[in-house]
Amino acid sequence: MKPEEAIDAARASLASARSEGAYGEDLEDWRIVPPERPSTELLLEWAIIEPDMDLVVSTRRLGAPISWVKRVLIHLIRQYTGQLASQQTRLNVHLMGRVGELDDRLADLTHRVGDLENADLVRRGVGRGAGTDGPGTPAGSR
Amino acid sequence: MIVHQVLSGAGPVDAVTTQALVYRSLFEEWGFGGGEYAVSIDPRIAGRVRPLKSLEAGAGDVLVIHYSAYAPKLRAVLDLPNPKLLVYHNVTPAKWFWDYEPTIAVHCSLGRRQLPEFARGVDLAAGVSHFNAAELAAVGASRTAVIPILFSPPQAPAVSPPAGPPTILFVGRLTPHKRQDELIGAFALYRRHRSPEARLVLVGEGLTPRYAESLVELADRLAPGAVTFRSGISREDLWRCYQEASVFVCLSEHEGFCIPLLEAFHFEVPVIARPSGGVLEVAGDAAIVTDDRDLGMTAELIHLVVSDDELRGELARRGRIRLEDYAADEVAAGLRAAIEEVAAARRV
Repeated sequence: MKPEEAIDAARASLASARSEGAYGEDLEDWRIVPPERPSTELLLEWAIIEPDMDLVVSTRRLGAPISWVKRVLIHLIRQYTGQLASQQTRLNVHLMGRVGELDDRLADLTHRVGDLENADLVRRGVGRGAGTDGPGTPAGSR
Repeated sequence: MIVHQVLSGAGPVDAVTTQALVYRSLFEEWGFGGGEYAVSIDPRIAGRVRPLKSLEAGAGDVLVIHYSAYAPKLRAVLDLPNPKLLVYHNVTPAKWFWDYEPTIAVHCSLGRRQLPEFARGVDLAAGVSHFNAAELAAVGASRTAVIPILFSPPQAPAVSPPAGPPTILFVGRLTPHKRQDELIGAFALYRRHRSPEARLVLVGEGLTPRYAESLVELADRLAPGAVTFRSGISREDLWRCYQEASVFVCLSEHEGFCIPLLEAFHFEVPVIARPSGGVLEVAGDAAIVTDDRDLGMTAELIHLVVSDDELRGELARRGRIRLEDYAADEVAAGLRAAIEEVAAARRV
């Protein structure tokens, strides 16, 4: 067989195999499920940086003095770290604001497109379309 | 002539670094001086590549910028007054990484956003494939060229695969866009319906340990015990993988060039691939290329290639011819011409 003939041959062979009941697997689960993305609410929560001082501990044996020294150091440079946190928080909050606005605009535009498509279907006499009654659906247009 | 090479990152198994070092050995043959510089350097290669901040290019020294990813401070190289040649290896679209590794997604996104500046800020913008060169032209490069990957055929010879169940091979990082997940699915179908003893070998480092684990779990679920994952292997072991393979299957969704295709051609391993990015032009007529998304179709193609000796022989013959198009001497001559052109343009 020539390479140019291989695809047609494979297609025919697959169709034949399927007609005999092969290759009937449901492939829906045959994939890697991506980890769930953080929700907008969680991102908003993360946007404001609030380090937890309780986590500044040494887990070594007799680590209490080390924990104390760490906390003192953090305290001594709190002006600098506070500035870092506030600058980063400012960026995060503004970015999340933009993301929120874009989310809202996208939802609004998607809704409007759905309404326009439904209205167009109604105008062409196809019916009310697949959507449910939306605020933009012309009343009594049927 | 002095020619310095600049990379975003350098590592011992990184394809771009390998290419830069191959360039260097040619530069030495040609009597060119200079060195390799990168923004981030894997300690294992620190002796051969120096930090970018130590670059002191003299007036007239040519800079070859290998562009494959965003790196902070890389853009500063464009401000240097030296003649510059960009070698674009492509940047994977960020969409493939958001779900698994957002930091890499951000780097890819920045890499693509900054590409226009690099394309316009150099004297000649070259892609390692026509696909890459077209991307450079699309983002505003005034002069583009194609300098294919310099492929040095392995010393190991092609051999007939050992008798026994067929072995399917793919070589490439374990990343979402390389679609090892779909290859595992197609392989599982092939085992169920055509060859229950078949094996799949996936060679490549994981994008992250978690993503690699997800692939292992998928393989254990769909084809328990039949899929082997290999990473960090020597060149000799890699060549052995090719020598033992019955067919090389690449379902990748994005490739700037795809060097493993040439390696498969060298070892006369038949290739089945998707026509993504630079794959179609590298494969030419030497591979079975289809965009059919039906995994059953991929399984049947594997079966055809494994069982049809005439088809295997013809693909091997075409693969050998295809390799001649990437003959190192011709590619090297093209590279040298591009460097000399860039240097001469500034002297005029």
